[in-house]
Amino acid sequence: MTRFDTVLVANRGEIALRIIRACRGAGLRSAAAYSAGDRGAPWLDAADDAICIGGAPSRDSYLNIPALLLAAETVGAGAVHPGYGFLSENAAFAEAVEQAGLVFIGPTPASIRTMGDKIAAKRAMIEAGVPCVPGPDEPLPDDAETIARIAAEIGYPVIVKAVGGGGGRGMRVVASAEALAEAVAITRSEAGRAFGRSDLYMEKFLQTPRHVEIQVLCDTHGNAIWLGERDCSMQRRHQKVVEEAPAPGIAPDVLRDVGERCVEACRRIGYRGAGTFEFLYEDGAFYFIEMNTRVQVEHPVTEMVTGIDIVREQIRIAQGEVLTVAQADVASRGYAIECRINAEDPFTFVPSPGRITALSLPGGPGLRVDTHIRAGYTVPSHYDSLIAKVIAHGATREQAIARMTSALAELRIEGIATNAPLCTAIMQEEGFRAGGADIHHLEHWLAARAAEGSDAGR
Amino acid sequence: MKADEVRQIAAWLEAAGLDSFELTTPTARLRLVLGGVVAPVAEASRPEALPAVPSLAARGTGIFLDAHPWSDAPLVRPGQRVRAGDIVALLRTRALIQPVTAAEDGIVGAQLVAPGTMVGFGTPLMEFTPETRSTP
Repeated sequence: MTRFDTVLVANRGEIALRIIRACRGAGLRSAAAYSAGDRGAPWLDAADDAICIGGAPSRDSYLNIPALLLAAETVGAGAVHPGYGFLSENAAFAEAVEQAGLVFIGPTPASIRTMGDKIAAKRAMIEAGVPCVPGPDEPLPDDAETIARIAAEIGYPVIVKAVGGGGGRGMRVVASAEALAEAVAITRSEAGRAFGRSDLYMEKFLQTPRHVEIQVLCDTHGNAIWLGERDCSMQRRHQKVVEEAPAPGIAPDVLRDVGERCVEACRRIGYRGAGTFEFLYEDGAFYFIEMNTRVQVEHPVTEMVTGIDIVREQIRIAQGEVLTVAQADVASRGYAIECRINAEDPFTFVPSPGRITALSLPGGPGLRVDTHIRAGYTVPSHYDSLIAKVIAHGATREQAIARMTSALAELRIEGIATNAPLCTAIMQEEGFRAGGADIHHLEHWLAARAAEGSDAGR
Repeated sequence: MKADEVRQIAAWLEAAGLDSFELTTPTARLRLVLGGVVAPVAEASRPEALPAVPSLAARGTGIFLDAHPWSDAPLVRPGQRVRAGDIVALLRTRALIQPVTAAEDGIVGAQLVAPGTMVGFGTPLMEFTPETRSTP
């Protein structure tokens, strides 16, 4: 694989800064590609070079493949780091980067493509022995009797999903056999209209699962390791709010088994780079849902407990080097929690872009803040509202929670609204403190809180 | 935007089960929150600081060239009158050379960057005074 000395950072915000820092740590130059909406943004100063590639809307800049490739050529970059979101899981982009003779810091286009197709991904996992949600790894047939038999084999409740769907659209939960035929017919016609293909598949519907994911790293010399797990069950509308590592209360042998199966799956599919296997976890069992073929927002909690710099490893892997750690050297120490700080109202969740008039970031032992903001910076309205990640580490989960609570109290961001008060409230919430809450917990708690508030005449 | 248009958007949001809406135009921002306050946020925000002098800016990335590599003669000279679509400079990325064209009729002024400089989208390249075409 090609060696390179300059990395084009094809992203923005905190992750752009994270990548720039990793490049510097690796002795590489970084060049930040940015949009006109991010002109003058703080992370551009940290990069060795910065180049404006297009207008503020993402499609003109961070999603503009030809502009990014030209920028890479212009600054003399030998590699492209896509970060998360934007083009990070776009197989066509990875392919275009490689065809331009550059190194894509991520997996092969083929891996990205396979994992982007729900049924293909599930089939690959079943072949590799990774536990999946019960249900066939192929589209449903047309015959009503066969569909009824499949549902009975899986066991109700089941969920019928459009193969081309996603983001909570094109799916229907079926509680019993009587409702099946109608649900399939409606979902099929909706899928045809909304996604242009009416293929459906069926899975068991898990009612109160947790979201637990496994981090992997694979080099190009056949080495693959897993770096433990993260629990990301604190979600609102499928958006993670708080993440932690390790996942509370899961038997180590169950985790080791699933972790080893993920590693085996990586070997079988020839996976390269960092990746995350996302699972639902219910009643002591793991069920694969999807694989993210990129670095994740919540990667710092794993870095805090393992001491492994995941972004640095991504870069090393792309340079053709051997992983710096062997599986036997991966050890998890203590507990880490991450709170995502968003520029939004803490309880109505309405985005709150604007100028930050005053800023004070927390510090102290076991604390890390990944952010690109500074006083005087204007949070643009064009992009995701994530402005900072506060990560607290402690010897025990209680200590991590206490450090997070204290850090959130110290954090002061003025001029815009942030969800820090919500994060503070979650740290005090019984269900979260007990550990092991399911993926619906936060929404239920928010709904109950809102109802209580209105009773109190708020 | 007129009040009845805002009302119509609100009705659409309600019908679609959405609770908030935001529209950004170059001059204003409209934010609708259903079930709460309906607050148009007027922001005189200019996303980019515009240069003090009227200028012609790059629409892409590359190395700024004022002449074609095979020629010594600059494409335009200060004071020269150009028509919309005329090539006034070039941006080079390795073997690829892209033209920079005038978006409207006008008079080219002084160069604002030296040839050989790396420029990006929006970098002012030369002073430019637009001229409205006289209607016959």
